[in-house]
Amino acid sequence: MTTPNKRTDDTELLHRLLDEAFAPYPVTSETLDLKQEVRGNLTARTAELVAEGTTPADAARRAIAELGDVGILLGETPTDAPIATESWVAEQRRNRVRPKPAYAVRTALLAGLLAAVILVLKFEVFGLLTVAPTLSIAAIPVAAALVGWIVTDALRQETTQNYPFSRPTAIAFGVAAALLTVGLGAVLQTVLKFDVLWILIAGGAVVASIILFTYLGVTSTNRRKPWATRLMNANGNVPNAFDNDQATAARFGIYTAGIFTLAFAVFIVLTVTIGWGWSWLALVGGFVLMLLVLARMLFPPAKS
Amino acid sequence: MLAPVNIDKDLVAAMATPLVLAILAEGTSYGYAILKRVRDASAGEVQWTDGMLYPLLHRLERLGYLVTEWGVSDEGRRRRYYRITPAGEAQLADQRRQWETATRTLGGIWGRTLPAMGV
Amino acid sequence: MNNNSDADVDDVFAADLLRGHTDTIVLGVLRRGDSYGFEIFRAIREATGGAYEIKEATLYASYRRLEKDGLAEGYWGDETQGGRRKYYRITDAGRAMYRRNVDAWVLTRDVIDSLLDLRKA
Repeated sequence: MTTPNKRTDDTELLHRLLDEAFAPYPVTSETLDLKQEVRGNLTARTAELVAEGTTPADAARRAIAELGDVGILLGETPTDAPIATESWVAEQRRNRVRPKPAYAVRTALLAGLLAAVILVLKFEVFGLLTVAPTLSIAAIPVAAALVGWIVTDALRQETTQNYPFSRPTAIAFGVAAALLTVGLGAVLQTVLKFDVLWILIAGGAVVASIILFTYLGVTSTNRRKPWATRLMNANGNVPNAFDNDQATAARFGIYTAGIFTLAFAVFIVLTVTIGWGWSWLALVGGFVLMLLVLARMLFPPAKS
Repeated sequence: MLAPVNIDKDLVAAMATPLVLAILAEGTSYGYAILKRVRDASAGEVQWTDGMLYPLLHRLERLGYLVTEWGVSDEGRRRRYYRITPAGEAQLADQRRQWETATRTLGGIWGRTLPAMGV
Repeated sequence: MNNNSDADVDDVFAADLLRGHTDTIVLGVLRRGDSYGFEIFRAIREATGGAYEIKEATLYASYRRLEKDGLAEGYWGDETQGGRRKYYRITDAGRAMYRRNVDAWVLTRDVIDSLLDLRKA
């Protein structure tokens, strides 16, 4: 090889020194990952040194020297060390966080109000009560607001195992839940008095809610407390595909949106053609299909 | 709202030597009084034990940072007192300086500097 | 913040005091945005006014701990040249832990300051 490409030679020097540093140690997927991570960082460090005027060769050697003993790097995490022998119950007791009284009272009141609204609507549906149409319609946003508030409030509380969600995230979850409630309320209205408008609102609200839930599910980060995470890892909890791969979770969300859009469309068609008696089967079918897809994606069968 | 904040006991333990020397620099004292001073200053959060304090006092004596002398308590009982030495004062001054450096650094990183001192 | 010329490698005690807080320091950097190893190293160096350059081994151990405890998530970038970089993103638990640790440190600092007689409390 007589290519006088000095730049390549110096990059090669860094890679060669890195290989030499890692050579004495057994190769596992963990060490390979660490080596690649170190490679990326050292490349940036040598670039910085070169920009300050160091020769590329010296920069490479200095960067490797700064790394220190690779053995120490690799041995830092005692993955085979005995992990917390404390039981879940003991840890739970030690880290217990009690719910705030104000929150408990608030939620009880809101839930009571919500239950009252639902009861009134239920009686109306079953013909036990006649409610002015405007009141009946107004109940939907009220119920939605109550649901949204309860959800947001709940997610903002710190529990023994979890930290609270951030305010914007908790509000977003509340909005998604409220939309779902609007959708259900719209379905209820349609049952009372058939109107395509309500079906469209129901479909729109439910699909929007699912999309928002999916987005939140994909972008939300871990909020489990370290003690719980450590114990779960130690006790070998069953890892599922959603934990390991956000793309899978996102795909599931999109499939669900698609399934329910289809279910609603079929529901409308059946209602118009066959009538109420059987059209609701479309929604049930959609729900069952969603569960099947969920199970399949969450726990994929091992590839043979 | 998160659960109430606790004192970092590990940090206090790491600072045990300068803390004990500082208490003695205020005046000659004895074991129980030192423990009480730390407990009071931390509003009861930090409760050192005899088992932790006395080995430390022995080590500091070996290093020449303090000397022991016998005295009499208010109840008339014999009691061992500890007095800081010039070497101890020097060690205290050095560790105080390093604590201030570390504190200023961390305060700067975390945006929690001391208001009045402008550090 | 002035560069304290007292701060050099002889300040073993101060270095120890800082090293105990590496995880929280890293979380503090990640709070401002996702970063990879070298960027984090440089951010810390600049934040300490060049007084302390944290050891790489300490940092890698910190990343591993933060990932294991669910306080940060690592992911690979998609650089094409010079090798892919491993980025870290702080989680909600990480944010909460950061706030809690800093609050605990401030409280502890005040207690120690009063005992060291640095401020008349």
